[in-house]
Amino acid sequence: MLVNRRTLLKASLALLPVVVGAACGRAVVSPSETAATSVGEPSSLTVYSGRNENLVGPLLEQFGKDTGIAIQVKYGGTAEIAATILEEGANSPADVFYAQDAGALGALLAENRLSALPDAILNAVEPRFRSPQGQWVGTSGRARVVVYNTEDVKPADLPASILDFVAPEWKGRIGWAPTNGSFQAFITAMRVKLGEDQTRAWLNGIKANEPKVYPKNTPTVQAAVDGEIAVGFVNHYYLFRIRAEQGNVPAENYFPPNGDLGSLINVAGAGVIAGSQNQAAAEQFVAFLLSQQAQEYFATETYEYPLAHGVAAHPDLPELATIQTPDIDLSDLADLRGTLQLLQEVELI
Amino acid sequence: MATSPKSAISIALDKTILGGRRTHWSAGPPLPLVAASFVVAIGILLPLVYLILRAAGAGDELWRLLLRTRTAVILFNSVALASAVTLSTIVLAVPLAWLVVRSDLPLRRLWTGLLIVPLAVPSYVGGFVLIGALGPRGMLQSVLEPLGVDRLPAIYGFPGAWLALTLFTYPYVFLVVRAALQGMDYTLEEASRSLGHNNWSTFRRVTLPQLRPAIAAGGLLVALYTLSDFGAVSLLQFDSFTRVIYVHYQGSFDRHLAAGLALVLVFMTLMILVLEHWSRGRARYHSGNNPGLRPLRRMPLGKWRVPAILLCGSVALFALVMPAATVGYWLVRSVSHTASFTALPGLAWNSLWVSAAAGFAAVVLALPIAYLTVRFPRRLIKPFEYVIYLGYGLPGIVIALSLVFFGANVAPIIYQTFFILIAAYLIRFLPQAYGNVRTSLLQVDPSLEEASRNLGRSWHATLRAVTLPLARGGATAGGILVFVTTLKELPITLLLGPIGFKTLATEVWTATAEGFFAEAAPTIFVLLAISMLPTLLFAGKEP
Amino acid sequence: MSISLFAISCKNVTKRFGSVLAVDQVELTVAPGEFLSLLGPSGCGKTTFLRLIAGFEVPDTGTIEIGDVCVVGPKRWILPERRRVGMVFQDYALFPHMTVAENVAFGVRKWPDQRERVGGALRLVGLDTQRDRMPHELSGGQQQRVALARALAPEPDVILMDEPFSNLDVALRARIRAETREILARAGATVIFVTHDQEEALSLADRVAVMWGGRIAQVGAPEELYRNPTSREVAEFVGGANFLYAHAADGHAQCALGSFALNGAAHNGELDLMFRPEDIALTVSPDGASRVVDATFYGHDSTVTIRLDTGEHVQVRLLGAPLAPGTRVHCQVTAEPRTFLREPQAAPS
Repeated sequence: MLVNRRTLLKASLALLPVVVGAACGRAVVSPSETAATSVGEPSSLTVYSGRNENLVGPLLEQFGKDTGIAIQVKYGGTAEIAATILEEGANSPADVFYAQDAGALGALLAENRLSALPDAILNAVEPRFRSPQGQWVGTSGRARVVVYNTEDVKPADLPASILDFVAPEWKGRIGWAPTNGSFQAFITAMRVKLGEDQTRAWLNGIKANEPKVYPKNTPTVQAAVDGEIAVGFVNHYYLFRIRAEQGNVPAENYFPPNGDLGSLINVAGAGVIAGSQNQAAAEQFVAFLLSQQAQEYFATETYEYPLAHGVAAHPDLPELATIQTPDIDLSDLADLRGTLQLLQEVELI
Repeated sequence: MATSPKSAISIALDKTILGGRRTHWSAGPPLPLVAASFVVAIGILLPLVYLILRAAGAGDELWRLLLRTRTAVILFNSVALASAVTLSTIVLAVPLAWLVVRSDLPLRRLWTGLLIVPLAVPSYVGGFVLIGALGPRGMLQSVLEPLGVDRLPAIYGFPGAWLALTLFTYPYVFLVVRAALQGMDYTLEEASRSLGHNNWSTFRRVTLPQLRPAIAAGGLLVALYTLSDFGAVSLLQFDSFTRVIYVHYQGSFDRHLAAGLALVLVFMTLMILVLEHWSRGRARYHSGNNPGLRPLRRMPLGKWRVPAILLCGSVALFALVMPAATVGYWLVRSVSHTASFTALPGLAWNSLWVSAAAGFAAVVLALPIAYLTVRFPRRLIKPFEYVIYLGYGLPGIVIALSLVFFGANVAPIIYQTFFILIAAYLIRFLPQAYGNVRTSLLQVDPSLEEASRNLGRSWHATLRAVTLPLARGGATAGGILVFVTTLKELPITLLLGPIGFKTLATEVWTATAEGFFAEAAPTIFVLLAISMLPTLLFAGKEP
Repeated sequence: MSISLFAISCKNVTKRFGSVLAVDQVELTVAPGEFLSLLGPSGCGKTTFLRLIAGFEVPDTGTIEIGDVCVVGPKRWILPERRRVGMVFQDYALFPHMTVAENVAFGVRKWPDQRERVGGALRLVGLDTQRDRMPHELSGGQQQRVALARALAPEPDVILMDEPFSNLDVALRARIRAETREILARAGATVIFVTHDQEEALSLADRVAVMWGGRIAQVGAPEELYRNPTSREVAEFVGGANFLYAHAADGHAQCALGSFALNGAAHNGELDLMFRPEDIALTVSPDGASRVVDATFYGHDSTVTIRLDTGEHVQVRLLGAPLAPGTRVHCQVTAEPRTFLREPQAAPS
């Protein structure tokens, strides 16, 4: 029997508050806190989501149900949605941009298309997971990992740092996706931490190992599962999803330890569009994404790191606090441009 | 006996200059058609205006990007891929079309239906399928492994992109050539046989030259599709120009640089159009014999019957059975059994009606321009031909964003309505209808239209009563092409559809983008099934 | 039928295609009920002239009147469908997707008496039993008659026919021609009939207009045209023509076949005399000054080429069998020759 995935997700959503009970962390935002201003008014909300409907659809529907706000969602690729909001300009019907990458939020920020968020929302997460000027907030996180095929690689053979994959024994065995946003954020972090020259050297080193180039994470992970590659530089949660669909596959995630660059955290986040006609509902929505309910959902359903204080990550994952992030603004386009120029220079994109 | 002094010079004049002019209507092109063509042309030029506006904001960075050597390499890649795919689709599709129209191949209508379906395979699915089936650890490999084959030739890069695009775009040529074969005067073939040419020589020297405009039109569709495709080239790791454009949208969120690069694609499109124009030749293609609905005599295949069936079968195997099997395998391999069926009827209906509307509208809008360019090939009208193809050489994202820009800022009333959605489909896919309509109009003898005018019918009554019925085959083929291509269209549907509007294609994307392949499987099957509908419906009405 | 004195009147009609003058200052009037043949070689502009009348081409200068209506002239243009001109195309242009009856009904659709007209037109051409056939199921002659019936059904003021018999085989042609002539006479139509076949033109028409290089060279009754061509071109085009060198003096012209009285203006000097092949009688005689050099047998008649004692050749038509080459003959002229000014290139060797 085949059952609708979303039905399953919805059922689990309904159960969440019961399971989690009253164990809510202090910093988790309660939706009612920010919604106070708009109580009583019939409200509507238009969300442009760069996040996949399969991942967040049930959560967004739940928000509409809980609040009575008529929520409309436009789904698409994060970059395409960001470009759409920019092209729409002042006439954009969007109230909220819910993005897969901080970089996309940065693109809106650079053209002043985001408005400032209330402190109550911003303070729900660590400063490293929100915009320094307070226009967007991270809602869930994903770690960079090395996915490896367990039939091809023994855990002991894996190097301590991602920097060591330039070694000749990895020749022809690596898969990566240089055009992927998370990968580029990782390169940005590397540039900040190690400088341009060392980053260039690393990129050229990996390039010399003749890696397979994939358009994004999913096919990279699938390639590792299929044994097409031994290791792939990806985000942590794709393996969980492939396991959910294909059962026990011969692949594992490796988190390079001791705060290595290889296990950098990237965030999905949200911001309120400047000039939104539904400011209150929009802020209420962003707050909802940081609520206990939503954060638990990310932890258990999408295998992401919850970012709000006090919500625990999936037990299979190393704790968020053990993963370091360099001191960079994830949405800084200037940094991103530098990365792209470097990637172009070494002819990877 | 009377001696009629025939001057060689005057005969030649009659055939070339006077004969060529026979297609001109004396009173000039009908104004309503010219006006309609202008409106269509302006719509199609919107993306170009948008690109110029955006590229102007790119600054020196654009020149730095364009002038690096890698740009030349990628341009060469794109041109090489487009040429290779165009050539292979022609080699594949022309014999297939001939077999289903002109031979006594068994189950012709079924083959026709099956051979069109691969068109509906979205290239991002086609890419996954090819990797899944022929990739380093794919299905074929696992089948061959017991036989000692442990390494298949590399699928990534040029070979994979070439194979994927050939398999999923040859129906463009197939459909156009099929329509042309149906409208062709086969007495010319008989004449050729009577002049001592055998089957093959007749095909090469009479049939093939007559098919030239159709092959050129189909090849043009393939070439421009290849140029603008992103899904297949990115999954199969081939560095094409469109991929680079996407990288700039997706990586740096830089619309200005992306627009500047897209303008290069516009330039390449123009180059290809010039090439196509040149390849069409200068002959006229109506024979004056008005073959019309004369029953076709089919050529007996004889000993070629089995090879013919094998050819059709193996194309169907690679382009249809292989994707279907791969998608089926996703379903079987799935342990979570999360495929969704409840939403399918609604999605199918959305896909069906919006694609049917686009197909119908495309034929209606292609007609005025096709009619003008065929009947009044004057200097003023020629540019329309080029304009109509501009949108087709551009990646879907560019069309979508340009209409987002104009829609939200100039015409907010229609923004994110079905009106602008279908307008965007038309800007992108009109050439598919145009090429077909044009080819079939070329086969309508202008003296039939003159006869109608002479019998008291106005130009529009003539269009309705004579021209359109005779050009029906091409118009239908054009409508089907636009229908099927719209079925799988993604960026335009996502960005310009009314909020919450979902189709089978957006659902397939939603599922495959995050790796939920099993969930996509039933949707893909419905998509493929629907793509067969119009062919099965309309093929029966044709001879 | 129009009550005016002419059915068609063309004044100074000129049409150029690029640098080619297709129709050059043509003046032509056709009387109501008249059957006029437009005779000329391929490329002489006769089809273009027909298309100018029908309205498929616009003349560069000149006016065309049909009945008492000016259809084209300075600042005047009547659409082809309003001209009430019937046309029978060279390839018939039958609508391949319509039955015989539908083809004939095409020009009278929605007329109150449509049924009667279609029936009448089909009876007129003798095809009332074929009404439900498709054009491709008919023979060439039948197709021609359908085209005729279709043109006749709306009872146009004028019927234009563009080489309507050229696609028929010879055996059929004579019969169809006669039938067509009779049908048209019964319908009382004014007809302009384009042909390159002089026999067809002379046998069918009330009047023949010979067209040459875009101009009307001569118009006249068939016999007048045949007997008294005003130019060498017309003389040659409407039948066989023998031109013999002659010297004129004192109202007489002396040529190889004898001396002939000159009518009209006296002319002294060199002349050409034109003899029709049937105007020369032969008598076999061993001491004849002329000799048969070639002979062609056509059945009921034959043509022989005679070499005269001046070295000139003439063609002579004989009833019955030809004479064998080498036979010596006497030539005798039985009808008055037509005189032409000499053309330099025609001087005897």
